[in-house]
Amino acid sequence: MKVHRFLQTQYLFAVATFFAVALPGCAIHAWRVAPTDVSEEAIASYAQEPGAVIYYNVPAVFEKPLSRDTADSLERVQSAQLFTELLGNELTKNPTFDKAILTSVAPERGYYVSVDVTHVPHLSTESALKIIMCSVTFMIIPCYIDDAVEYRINYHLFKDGKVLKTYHWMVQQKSLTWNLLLLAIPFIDSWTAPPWMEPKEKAFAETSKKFWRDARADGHF
Amino acid sequence: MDTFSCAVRPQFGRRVSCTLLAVGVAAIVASCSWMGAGSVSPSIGEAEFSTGPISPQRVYYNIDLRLNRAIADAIRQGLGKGAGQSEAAYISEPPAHGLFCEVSLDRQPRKALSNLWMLASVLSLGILPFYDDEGERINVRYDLYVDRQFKRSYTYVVSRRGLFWAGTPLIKPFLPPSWSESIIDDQVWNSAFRATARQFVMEIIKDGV
Repeated sequence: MKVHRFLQTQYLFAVATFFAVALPGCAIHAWRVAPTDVSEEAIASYAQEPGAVIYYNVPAVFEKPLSRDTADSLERVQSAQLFTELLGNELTKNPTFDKAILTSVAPERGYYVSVDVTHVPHLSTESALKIIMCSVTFMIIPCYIDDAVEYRINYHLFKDGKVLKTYHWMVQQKSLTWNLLLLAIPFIDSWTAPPWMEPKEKAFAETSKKFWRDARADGHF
Repeated sequence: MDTFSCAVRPQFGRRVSCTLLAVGVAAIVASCSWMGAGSVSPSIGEAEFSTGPISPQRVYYNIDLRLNRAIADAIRQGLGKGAGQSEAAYISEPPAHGLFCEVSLDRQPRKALSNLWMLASVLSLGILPFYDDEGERINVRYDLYVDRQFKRSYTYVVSRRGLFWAGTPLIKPFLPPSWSESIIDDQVWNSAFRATARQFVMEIIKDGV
């Protein structure tokens, strides 16, 4: 009797441990720039203009702080700060410009780009069905969706204070939810590119490459 | 074994819960604004600046954006108002033409003895008075550049000093008028940084920049 109870306890403990370990890690996600049909041009092939400067702005960084910050507003600010840093690094990689200078106002002379990020709530019927199926089966049926969360990155390009054009890019989240995902994690990174769990701000900043390409194609640089 | 654990554990548990209760009560009492009074400096009102000169040029500035946002915003407003605008313009590098200041904040660490005294006061639920004359101090430095040329640095100290004591309400009528409960109010604290920015603009105008 005692042995039976002991085994029962051990069994319950094992099940509880499994759920405690496996369930919190049952969803992962990654961010990617929405693909386009245009072929990518090597950035190294861009013409060089020694001493050229591009000014850029991410208005969210300069927004007035709330009188009492919420978790949401803090996350938004931290996200904007990280995006600004990454965007600055990406912009300086372009050989056309020697420097990228962050500013809160448009300069009277020179190139200036103002970048804003807008969250676009979106969920297709197909993705909604996948989520429902996954939920009602306690995540035994895996759920992979790639269009549940979308961000629109807008580049407003100015020259000498005049608007040249606005460019839009989308960053989408792809996510995989599965009860046994923890066991599959070691293999997931090799299946996909870019790697999972990278911040969305990195994907936001990567849109700058597409911005360069399109602005060059339009003859602005 | 069982008898031993039955005799000891409840006592131990009671002690832990009593300690937790005492710490909790101390934290609640310590957050009561009526037990504290103090002053923030510089405490210069907007009216005192309204008669001062206004810079004819736009003021550009740079500050570490990862710093406290409310303080950075207060400085931006102060620099802007000093130049007759709503806000100053941020730029990460000095512009080719115009006034630019690099703003840096340097927090002075509180003394260990002062921290201990404060802790003892809080744990005694305010019975033991705590007074910190030096208090919290932050040096605000403005490095001024004109047309990318460094001119000079201006440094101001923002500080708050105060008293924490259960008997504070009794002595409040005898305290200087600048002392108030608003020492813990963030808006009052931030306005001190705004005042340094206004003071800086006034001084550079006075210096003929």
